[in-house]
Amino acid sequence: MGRSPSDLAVFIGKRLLQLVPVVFGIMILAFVFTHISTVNCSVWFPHASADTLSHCEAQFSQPILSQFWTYFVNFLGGNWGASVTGVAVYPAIATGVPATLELVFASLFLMIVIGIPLGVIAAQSAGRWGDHLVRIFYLTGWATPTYLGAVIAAIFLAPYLGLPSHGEYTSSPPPFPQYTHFSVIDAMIALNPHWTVDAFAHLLLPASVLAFINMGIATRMTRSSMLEVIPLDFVKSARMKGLSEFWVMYKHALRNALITTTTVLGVTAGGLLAGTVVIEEVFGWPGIGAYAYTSIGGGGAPPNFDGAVAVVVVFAVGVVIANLVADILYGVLDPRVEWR
Amino acid sequence: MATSGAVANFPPRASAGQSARQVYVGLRTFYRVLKANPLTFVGFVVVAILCIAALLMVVAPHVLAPYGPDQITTAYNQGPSGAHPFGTDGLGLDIYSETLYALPLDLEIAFAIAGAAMIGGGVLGLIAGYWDRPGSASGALSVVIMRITDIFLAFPSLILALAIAVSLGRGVWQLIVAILLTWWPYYVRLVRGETLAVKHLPYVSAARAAGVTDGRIVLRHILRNVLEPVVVYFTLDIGTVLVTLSTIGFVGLGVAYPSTAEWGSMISYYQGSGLITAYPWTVLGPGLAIFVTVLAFSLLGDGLRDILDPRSRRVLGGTGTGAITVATPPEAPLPPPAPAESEDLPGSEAPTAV
Repeated sequence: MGRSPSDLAVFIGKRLLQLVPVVFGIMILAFVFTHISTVNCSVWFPHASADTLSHCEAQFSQPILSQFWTYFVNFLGGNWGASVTGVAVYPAIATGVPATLELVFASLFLMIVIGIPLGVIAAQSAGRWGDHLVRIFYLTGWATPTYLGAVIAAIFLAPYLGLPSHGEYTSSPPPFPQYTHFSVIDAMIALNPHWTVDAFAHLLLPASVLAFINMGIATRMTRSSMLEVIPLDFVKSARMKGLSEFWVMYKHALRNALITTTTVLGVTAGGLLAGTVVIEEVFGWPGIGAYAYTSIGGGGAPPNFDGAVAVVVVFAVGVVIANLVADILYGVLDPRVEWR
Repeated sequence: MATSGAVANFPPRASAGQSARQVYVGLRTFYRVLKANPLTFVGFVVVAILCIAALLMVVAPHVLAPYGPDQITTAYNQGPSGAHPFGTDGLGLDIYSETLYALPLDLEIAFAIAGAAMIGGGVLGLIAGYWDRPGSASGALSVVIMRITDIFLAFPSLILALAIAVSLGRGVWQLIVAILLTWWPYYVRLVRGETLAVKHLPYVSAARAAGVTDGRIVLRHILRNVLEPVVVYFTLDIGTVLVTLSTIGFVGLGVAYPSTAEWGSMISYYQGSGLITAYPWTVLGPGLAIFVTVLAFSLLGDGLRDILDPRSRRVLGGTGTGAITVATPPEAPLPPPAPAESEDLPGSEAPTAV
């Protein structure tokens, strides 16, 4: 127990080991919950051939545990199943994950650079109008359903601002190889400034909507931990030294307030990932959120049960890893924490 | 008071005068909360109006809604006007009336889900928090509850609810079950954390030393002191449930509009028919309704939470000592930060401060 890098390695290893039963439980739950209904193949797939229908009924009429066992063995072997039309699940998710990560990281960045200063402002003017305005701002985001914000931004705001509102690039696929499937990074690797700007422009609106809707958590947490820190002695002594108010707030107070905010940002991963389902669908972003939308039969598409289970598991693992990263960051930022 | 003072009467039953006084203190506190923050007051007023309007829509819908739930007019795709404040759609339905008809349903579903999750999750949380001695049978039960809760907490609830909804099919009950199955774990974590914070306080130890049974301690001493943060969280949660259920409606897995009016399904219907660019007002009514409702509950809950949060309370002033009797500083209920868990159990995985 201590704070050496080897302790950190042991801590991470232990947490990753603890992940194994959690992921197994997640898979069972996701599988059972998507398969609890009565078999209804002809309703799910009205246009399927008789052959497909009999295949579907044979598959779903087995006991649910034996269905799960078949699925689980295939899953471990790298075969994540396929949709009814025969499109394999794994490649679709593998190309979708980077696109979704890009969107989530971009909005996380916006949440940090906008949401945290707003929290500081709110704390400085606690109980007065600055505080109320910031509260109205973040609660507006909080109260806007993701789909409503996305639809308004894509249909009404995008033409007004002259921003694109569909896809990763103006032409899809772009005229250069996509090695990483991070749109901006791919354009940079291709050393193409025009397409880099294009990728940024396409990223801006969906990321802003996602950030605006989830901003409240960062702002609120910063405000509340700043309120805890501001009356402390070290802030007073920083003021007495004659430091400027800006320096006192953002260097001394915020640094200590950020410890709680960081861990909370890890918890927001769930909200951000859930938000991508609707945002990616509305903005035509080719990530796993849009894949989840179509897999679960969004917009009247036939459901893709293998895809739905896989995508739920991937989302859940993403949340678990985000929490782990938040725990690690917490330890890095707070020197009193020991790894154990 | 006329109680005899014998040990058998400990703790003394609340007399009528005492509970009247408690109600008075509660109301006075609530009034101070509203006075301290104008936004909380606005939230409270709007929530009250919405609840009254929902009741009216159930009892006497024609007082508020000028048209029947399925009444088709001859005005098609009309923009907002005096006769149709939110316009009409391609079927000639008055969107203002439809939005109002959805109000009681949306509120009912939201209250049902949040209420059931609060009761179910709260009971599990009390059990897991109070009977958690390692090695005992109840301790094992508590570990099982928390492990299952952890697995559920790993899911982004919206995505799991969507997956369940596709399996269950469309309809009000299916919608409630799908969301409820993903909603209870948050209350387990909150109530367990609060219980752990309260159960070692002197008054609980005193009750135990006086021979009060565990069940009675939980019901009369723990529950009462855990209730406040839970109710605040519940208020905020109504808004979150509303957003989630309307999102499921938007995806097309909720109730089927126009046969049943629900705000998310309405937006889905108008947006999905591709007419939103030509007739943008069709989403105005339901969109505004969700926004205002969620904002009102959030303003109220957020303000109430500030009062419970001792850090903010210090700044707000006026509502300090005696106004609200919170036994320990509660964690900010939403979202419960990871380190807050660290002091809970010796076996907790979170990094622990020295």
